[in-house]
Amino acid sequence: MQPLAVYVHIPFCTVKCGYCDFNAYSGMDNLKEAYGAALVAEVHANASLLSGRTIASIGFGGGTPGEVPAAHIGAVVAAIGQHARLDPAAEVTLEANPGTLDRPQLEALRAAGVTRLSIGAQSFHADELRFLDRIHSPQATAAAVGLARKAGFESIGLDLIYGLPGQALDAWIGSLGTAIGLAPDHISIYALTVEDGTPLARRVRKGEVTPLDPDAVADLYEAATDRLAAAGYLQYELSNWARPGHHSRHNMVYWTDGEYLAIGAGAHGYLGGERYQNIAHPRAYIAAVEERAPAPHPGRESAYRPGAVTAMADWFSLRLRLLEGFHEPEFEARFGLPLRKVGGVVLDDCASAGVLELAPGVRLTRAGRLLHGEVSARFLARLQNTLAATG
Amino acid sequence: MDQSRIRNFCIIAHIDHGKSTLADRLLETTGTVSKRDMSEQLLDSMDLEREKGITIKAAAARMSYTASDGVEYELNLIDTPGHVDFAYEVSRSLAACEGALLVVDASQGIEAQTLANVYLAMNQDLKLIPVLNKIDLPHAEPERVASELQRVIGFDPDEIILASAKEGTGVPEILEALVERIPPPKGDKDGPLRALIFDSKYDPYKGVVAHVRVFEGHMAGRKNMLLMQTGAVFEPLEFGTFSPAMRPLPALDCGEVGYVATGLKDVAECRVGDTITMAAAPAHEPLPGYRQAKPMVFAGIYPTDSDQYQELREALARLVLNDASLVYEPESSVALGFGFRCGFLGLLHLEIVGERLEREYGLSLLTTAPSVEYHVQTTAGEEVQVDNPADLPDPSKIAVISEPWAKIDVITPSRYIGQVMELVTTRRGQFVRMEFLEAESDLSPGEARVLLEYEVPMAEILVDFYDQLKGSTSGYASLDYQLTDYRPARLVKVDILVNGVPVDALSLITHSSNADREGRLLVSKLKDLIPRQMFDVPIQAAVGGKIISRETIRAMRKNVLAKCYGGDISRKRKLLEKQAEGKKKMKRVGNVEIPQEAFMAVLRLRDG
Repeated sequence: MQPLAVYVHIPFCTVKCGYCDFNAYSGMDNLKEAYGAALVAEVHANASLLSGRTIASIGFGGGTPGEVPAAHIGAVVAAIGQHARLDPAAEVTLEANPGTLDRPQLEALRAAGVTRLSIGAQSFHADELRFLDRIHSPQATAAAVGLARKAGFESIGLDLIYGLPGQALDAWIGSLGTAIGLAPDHISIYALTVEDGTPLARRVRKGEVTPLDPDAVADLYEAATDRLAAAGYLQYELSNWARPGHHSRHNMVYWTDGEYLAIGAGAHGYLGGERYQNIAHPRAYIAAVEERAPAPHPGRESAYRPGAVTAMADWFSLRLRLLEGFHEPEFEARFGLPLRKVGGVVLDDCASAGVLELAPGVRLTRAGRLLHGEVSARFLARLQNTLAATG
Repeated sequence: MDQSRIRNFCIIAHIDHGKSTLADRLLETTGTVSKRDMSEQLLDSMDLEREKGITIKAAAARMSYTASDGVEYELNLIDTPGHVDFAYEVSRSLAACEGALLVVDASQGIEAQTLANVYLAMNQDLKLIPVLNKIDLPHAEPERVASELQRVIGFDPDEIILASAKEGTGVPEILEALVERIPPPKGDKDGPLRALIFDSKYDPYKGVVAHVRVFEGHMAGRKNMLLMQTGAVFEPLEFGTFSPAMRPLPALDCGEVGYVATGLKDVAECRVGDTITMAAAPAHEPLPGYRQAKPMVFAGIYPTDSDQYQELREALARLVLNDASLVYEPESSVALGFGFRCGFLGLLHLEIVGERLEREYGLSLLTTAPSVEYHVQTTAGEEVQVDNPADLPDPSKIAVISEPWAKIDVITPSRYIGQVMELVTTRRGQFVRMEFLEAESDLSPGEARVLLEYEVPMAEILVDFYDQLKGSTSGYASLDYQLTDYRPARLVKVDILVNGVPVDALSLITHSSNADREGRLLVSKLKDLIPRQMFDVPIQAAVGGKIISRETIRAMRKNVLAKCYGGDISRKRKLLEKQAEGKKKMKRVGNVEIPQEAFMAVLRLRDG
């Protein structure tokens, strides 16, 4: 049986950022204790799903997982370890906000079993951080990286956001250079996306904020690609770079069709061919877990089994996010249909446009990395046209 | 019924001037239909329309009316189509009558199409009964409109009936006037049968049902009848009249209006304007005025999804059962695949057909830019008809191209004369004459309504002329047109190349003096309408192989989700599905995806 990953969602934030559309809440600190208990209860309730499995990674995301007492994190890791075999080399990764990390907290997290930190630096310009509603300063990020090193984390990653309204190339490359200067093991760069329903979307709608032109965002990405390569970072995913051996094993699970168990409010899971989602609101989640545990999946809200078209499109699209792409026989082994037959003219079109390589493996070219959505949408449209009947 | 007690009439009115309301009121007042049944009947026929995919409406109705002289009369109301596209059909409906109610909105005055129909009616010696409708409206100006009617058509003031069909005012006067003023039908009831077809419908059980007016003789029995123009012979299955639903009768007498079920399977054998006579004892000659309705506007209709071709073919075959004026033949386009070239009476007809195909048959269609029919004389001395720009021969093989011209009538308040003049001039139009319909001295300056007559190439008024006319006259102008003749012109074909590949469905025929400008505009419209592709796409316009304009659609740079982790997969998939939906609506030409709107861009050249 393939190893299992566990995703644990921590929905609390000191301040919810204006661009964020994740399941995160501020002002709910009084729920933290009950929530920590509910997470552990959910893990125990899922004992039958964990039993006999090897856990290769646990990912704590949020929200701001670095903000809850480290003991809660430790309790979840320990509970998982009671029911499943925790791989000694397992990656236990946690998202953290530089503004809420101090030395005792970092040491406690490390002692709780966390091996990797993903620190939300976002920018090294104070004005940009203010625009993004971040509570930390550029200096805090630098300090957090130093403290994390001292605390003994095996892998430290920095997350950056680019493509802010009006952002100039040198401002962006300046931030990126500062990040590189801190010598993290891993760097993720994310284009600022205006998500529906966020305060940022409202500001854009009102005309207070003008998003950066997509072509300019593309320029920033291209420049970052060069800068990161020059600094010795290897790109392994559309938004992720790492020093050799430091790619996130946990995140790789999502892109390679791996299974993951969901723990926590609004967490998503993928198990036995089924995708499912837990109840989003922390209070409702806690109540559900208290009521339903010890039955398995006590926090679950909904689940569905992707049909053939969806499953193929997901697989194709997720695998193409990886720079190494995939080999055609992998697709056929998974779905019983040759990729060429399924993808047909779409693959040839993308290849002749210089966006996609088909041999020796299937992967996006450098020019194609920013057109992943285009390639995926074409592939999906073709699947829907040719295989619609099978669902 | 004795001929002397029959009155056959129709209603001439502009859209919204109250024709339907008045017709309803007449049916109600004469007790033909009760007020309650009125709405029920409407609903029933709409259900039937949906069920059977055919239009069944009160095309005619027989009413029984006892006049003030104590005598019972048979009033036959014949409905007329209300659009200039159907001018020939209108003329046949008029031909079936001895009189007409001319209904004019007391707040609007007479409109160009109404006036055109009035002239048609006068040419056929119909007795006109002028009715000023909607006098209950606060902004009604009955005196002003009445004096316009006197001046333009020559009515006596005391002829004009003031009415409000909505409130029932004037309806008794109208019924009396129908009896008193309209002459009874003439015609020899003992002569050989001659009945005029003024409409026809297909019924799955009775075959083609012809709506007829009996001019001579009478219709009864099961003996074979002959259609004098098409030569088709049929055994009548049923006679009857409309009340307004079909009501069988043993016979139709001379002068009466009704229907005959022919059992024929094809409406093309039973055309509007044809004459029915007895096969064994035919009349010497058919009734006058017949002509085969000729399509004026042509367009390609293609299924968006090529899998729907067969369904489209079946839908068209069923549609023409009821619409003899629609013609179609298979066509294929390099860009669009397999579809049909269709001929229509006019743009409205095109629109109706397209809408019915989509709504009643669940098809998703792409309609190419409409075209007129050009007459091309080749250097080899051949005469070819071209209704699709893609089919225009190579310029080196063309001796002369001729295009259809129309006479247009515009009625507008005189303050807009300048605007109308300018609009028509930009459309290569030529001024013919101008006539004031009202005395200027009676009104404030610019108010008096004026009739402007021009000659214009059909192609120039095909698409957006009416909208532009309305726009430049604050909605006041009304328009009527009539095809007149073919005239030679210096016309050229502008080809459009997308990524170096000529796209037949985008080419257009235009006057050589406009080719540069229109080519440039089309290229720039296409640049906006065709989304960026994965590579640079040049868009070019060419005349006879010479490039006259070029733009490049730059390759798209970025279409990617910034992040996609476990929780994003389901959420972000929706974005991808939306994009995929958009892609499925595109037509793939070469390796470029072109949205449907691009194929209609040629229609919007005048905007910019």
